Amino acid sequence: MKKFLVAIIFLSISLSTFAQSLNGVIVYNRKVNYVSIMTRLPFLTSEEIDRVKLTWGNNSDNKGTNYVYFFNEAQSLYTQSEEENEGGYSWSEEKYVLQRDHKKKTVNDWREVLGKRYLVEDDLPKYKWKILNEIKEIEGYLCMKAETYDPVKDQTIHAWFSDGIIFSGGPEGFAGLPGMILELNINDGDVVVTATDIKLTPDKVDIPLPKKMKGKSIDIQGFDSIISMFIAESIAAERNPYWRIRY
Amino acid sequence: MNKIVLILLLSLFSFTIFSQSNITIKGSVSDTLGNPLIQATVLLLERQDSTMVDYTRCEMDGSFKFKDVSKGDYVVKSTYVGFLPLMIGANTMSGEDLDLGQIKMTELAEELMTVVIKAAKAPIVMRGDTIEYDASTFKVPEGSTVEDLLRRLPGIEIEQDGSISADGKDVNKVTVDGKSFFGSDPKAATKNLPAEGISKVQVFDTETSEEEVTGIKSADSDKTMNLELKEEFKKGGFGKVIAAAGTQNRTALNGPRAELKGNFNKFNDKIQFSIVGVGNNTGRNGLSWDDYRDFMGSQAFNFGDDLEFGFGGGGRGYFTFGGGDSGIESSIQSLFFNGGNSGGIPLNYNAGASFNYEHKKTKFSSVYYYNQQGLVKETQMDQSRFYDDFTSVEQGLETNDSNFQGHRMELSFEQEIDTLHSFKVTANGAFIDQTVGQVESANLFRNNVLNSQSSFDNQSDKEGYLGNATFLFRKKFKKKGRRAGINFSYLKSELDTDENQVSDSYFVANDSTAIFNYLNEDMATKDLFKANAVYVEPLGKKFFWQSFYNYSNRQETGDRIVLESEELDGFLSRNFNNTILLNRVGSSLRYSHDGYNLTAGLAHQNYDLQGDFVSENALLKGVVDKQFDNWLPYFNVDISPQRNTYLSAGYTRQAVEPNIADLQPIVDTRNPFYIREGNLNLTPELSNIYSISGNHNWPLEAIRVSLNLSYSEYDSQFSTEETVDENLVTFLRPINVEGGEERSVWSSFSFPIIKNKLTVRTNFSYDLGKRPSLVNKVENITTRQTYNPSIRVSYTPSTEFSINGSARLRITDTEYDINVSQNQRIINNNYSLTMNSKLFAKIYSNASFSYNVNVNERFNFEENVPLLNASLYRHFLPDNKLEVRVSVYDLLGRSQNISQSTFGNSVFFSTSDVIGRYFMLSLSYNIRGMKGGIEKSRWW
Repeated sequence: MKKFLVAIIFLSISLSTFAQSLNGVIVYNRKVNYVSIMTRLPFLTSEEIDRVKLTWGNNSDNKGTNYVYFFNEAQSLYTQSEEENEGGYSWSEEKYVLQRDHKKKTVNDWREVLGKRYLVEDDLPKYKWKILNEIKEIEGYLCMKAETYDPVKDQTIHAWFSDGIIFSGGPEGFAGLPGMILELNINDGDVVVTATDIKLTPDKVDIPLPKKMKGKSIDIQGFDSIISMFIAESIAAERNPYWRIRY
Repeated sequence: MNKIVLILLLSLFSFTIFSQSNITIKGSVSDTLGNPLIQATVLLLERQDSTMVDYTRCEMDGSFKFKDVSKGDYVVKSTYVGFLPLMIGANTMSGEDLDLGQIKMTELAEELMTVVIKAAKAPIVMRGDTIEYDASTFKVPEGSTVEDLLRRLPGIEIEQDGSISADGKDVNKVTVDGKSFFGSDPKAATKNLPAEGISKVQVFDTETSEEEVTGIKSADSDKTMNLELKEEFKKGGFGKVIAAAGTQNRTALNGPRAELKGNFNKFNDKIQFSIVGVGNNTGRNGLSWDDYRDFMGSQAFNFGDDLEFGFGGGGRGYFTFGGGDSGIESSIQSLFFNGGNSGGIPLNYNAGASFNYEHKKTKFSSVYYYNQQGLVKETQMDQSRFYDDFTSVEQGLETNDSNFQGHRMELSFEQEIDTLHSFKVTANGAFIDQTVGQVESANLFRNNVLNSQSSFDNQSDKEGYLGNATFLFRKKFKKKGRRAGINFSYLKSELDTDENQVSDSYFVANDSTAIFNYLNEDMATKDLFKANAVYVEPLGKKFFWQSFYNYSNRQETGDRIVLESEELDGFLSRNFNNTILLNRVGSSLRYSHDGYNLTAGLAHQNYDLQGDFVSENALLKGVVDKQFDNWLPYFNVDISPQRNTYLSAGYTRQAVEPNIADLQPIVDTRNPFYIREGNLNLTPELSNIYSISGNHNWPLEAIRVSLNLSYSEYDSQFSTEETVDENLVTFLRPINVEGGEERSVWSSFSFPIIKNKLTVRTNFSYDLGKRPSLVNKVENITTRQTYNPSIRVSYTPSTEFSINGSARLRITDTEYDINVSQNQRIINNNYSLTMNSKLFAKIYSNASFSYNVNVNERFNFEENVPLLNASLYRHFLPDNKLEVRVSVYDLLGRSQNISQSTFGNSVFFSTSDVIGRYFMLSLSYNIRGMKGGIEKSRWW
């Protein structure tokens, strides 16, 4: 209850003082359930699906990876959080920097897919959102549920957004709702991205742009067609495409 | 692509509509008392599917306005923190502006807010006026019943006698998944069902039969509670049985071929249980990698912990599959795949059971495995040895009749104490019993002149047991990257061998005969204690300082009694007692950031070897007391600038201690043709190992290349000193030599010609081994080079046909600098073709043909062996649960088992008998069904 009071008080303060300049940094945890993804592969027999569950079923409770979303009134950036590597071994990380200009309504992403790096430049994509009748709390914010569909990867995406954070943004490039998306659930738990730390401030948050972003220029349509083609070919060859591309 | 078109269409569509319409929807939002809810969010949704059209926020007076709305059927939804979202209809089909007036929102009930949303973190769903939530998110202690769960839910009361009421009304009926549970007593379900299995609790008005007919509900009806069970995602099970009977081959020894194999498996999210059993005399173990996964369950990829901490740091590990030896220290994993057929007539049985339990932070696994391998085999052997001035040739015929039996048990328990601490305990046990009967007759020639004739008859029976326990403790510290590990292990084994060796040799030169009849009784024990520790300290975010310590104490005792013609041989009967103590301490610094890992380290190791031995007659007596100290540097670079590129380079120095048996200056004369003696001056084998490897792939193009290079040079290498007398009796003594080296290249390149249909994989490997030895006081350097190119082409034009062709060449050049005229080239090439196709009426065929070419020109040896196997099969029953298959093995009847190899100053050929041609009818039943059509090859 206290948190709610705080949220309400905070909201009323935000109304009077900085309703138009909301800045913040949100940490999201992204968990991938590979077992669930594998069991959706159309070419596996029911025995093979059971074998996947048997061998890996108990490994699905992983810790996930952290991502950070920076936003100020004009721009936002979503990328992997720079964690201290605990294992003492550093694996190469896929470039995944989603940069959005909310005033110019443009996308300027740095993405790596199938061993190649791209600069994805385009207009902000528009998602068709359905608003559902469910509410729940995430990190002290009461959220509503919305749904959209991505035909490229055949994913139904559920987003929990809160109008308590008046910024139409969110993780993984999803946005366009009347408030910040604090949780994404892709295909019923295959991937769950949840806000674990929310810091809002009236001071301007600087967007930490990577020093040099090198890659082939491409638009969203071109980028999506690379992914669609690879998924189709992999499925035809009875291979799991999601070992090599981000789900 | 689709998405973009959709979005374009959508925006175009909405644009045209919006441009034509200028309807305004307005209203205001307040609480039940009429106070405006400033900044409440108001959404405009399409009534049909709740698609969001627009959204806005209320002004200071609570008012809102949507402008330029097109004609349509909408819902306006208002939300505000702490209030229940509210929806009201907004139809603008008339084309006129719409004023929704004051929308009054109700506050969320405090109980709902604090109990459901805050404490249980349960999402709540609104359906009209009723609210539903997921009961499974309410935490109850383990073992709780549904009744315990219900007590926690807001609005539900449980009386002393267990009767339930919801929102003040009695619950007179409880259903489970919509079905009545144990008659009509609602308490039966709630008192007995475990809370863990419940996903949802739904409460609704009970419909009386009258209401069902009339559809009119009475206001004060009772309630029905429905309990929805959790759909267990991790639940499953499978199994199959294969039974096959074959024909008897005229030449084969032991009856017709037969095969029986079955496995069964059942699991849920906590428990995994499986059994497996195989019996056959076909030489095919029949157990695949999939069978191993089904048997071991979640433990399948648990290859044991690397207990010997060293320089490595959480990097890439190695997976090794495939059969290992069946010795006492073998593991269940390596026995599982132990089915390599190298000729002879086999008879094998395997059976196992596995049970795993995994819940939250506790893991337990147990496996039992029994295996029995019998083999009757007849082998023709031909071995030539080269000396500076003569050549010896031994030709023999060996008959082998062996049987091996083993019982093994592996247990493991793992517990995560908290996020920073965990431990693991394992215990393994094994019993083995092996009998080997070996009868051989051989002729030995010196420069093509018969030197001696002999016959041997060795019968041995070996029995033993092993016990092994390990304890491993891992600790992470609060400071990220700082961690420590410690482990202890203890292994004890005992092997008792009874051996009867009879030999009868005739030496042509002096027309003499030597007959020996030895009875050996050997008892060997081993006690091995190990302790290891590792500590990692982060230095900043990118550097790590790692230190480790290895301790090992190995005690071996041997007690041998030798009877020569039933009299104790006081010279050959002896006892020994050895202790090998290892202390190794090392430290390394690692840079680890952004896909770059660089390690440099240094270790110091000390071996302390102590042994004493005494012969039964006390004539032979002595001690071994040796200390070896070595510094071992280590460098390694692992780079992965991008996920599809990997490069690695490393240098390490290795020191291997000599076997104590090789250090003891004892003469072993039991084989009259090979007399062995130890060497007290033996020192450790020291080598410098350099390696480079890299791989890169283009996933979109399905192209992959890899290259591995390695080079080892020996400062000191174990080798032998060999002296041969005029009777061709060989005296062997272990020695250290300098100048040995090994080089190896392994590369592969795979690419598609037609993606997914026609693919090619090429491999090339090259090995060089150079090993000096002493032969009759002369230094001989044997250099062996092996070239191994191969290509495989796979063509799968449809789901009904596939063909694979491959050529694997293996060329071995051996050079003996002691006698260059004996330099030779051995060729072992294999060409194969496999075809799968659908014939007609659901009948499939599978045929494989292979052609082996074995050539050694120096010996005018050329033997080509074709092998053709084929089968026809058809699936029956729904889901292809049953398969009937007719097969023929070795249709051409020309199969033989040929082996040729070179080692040291010798070359060796052998040919052994095989099962030969037979037909087989097999029935397979798989409870989960089999895959129809042609199997795709999933290799790259």
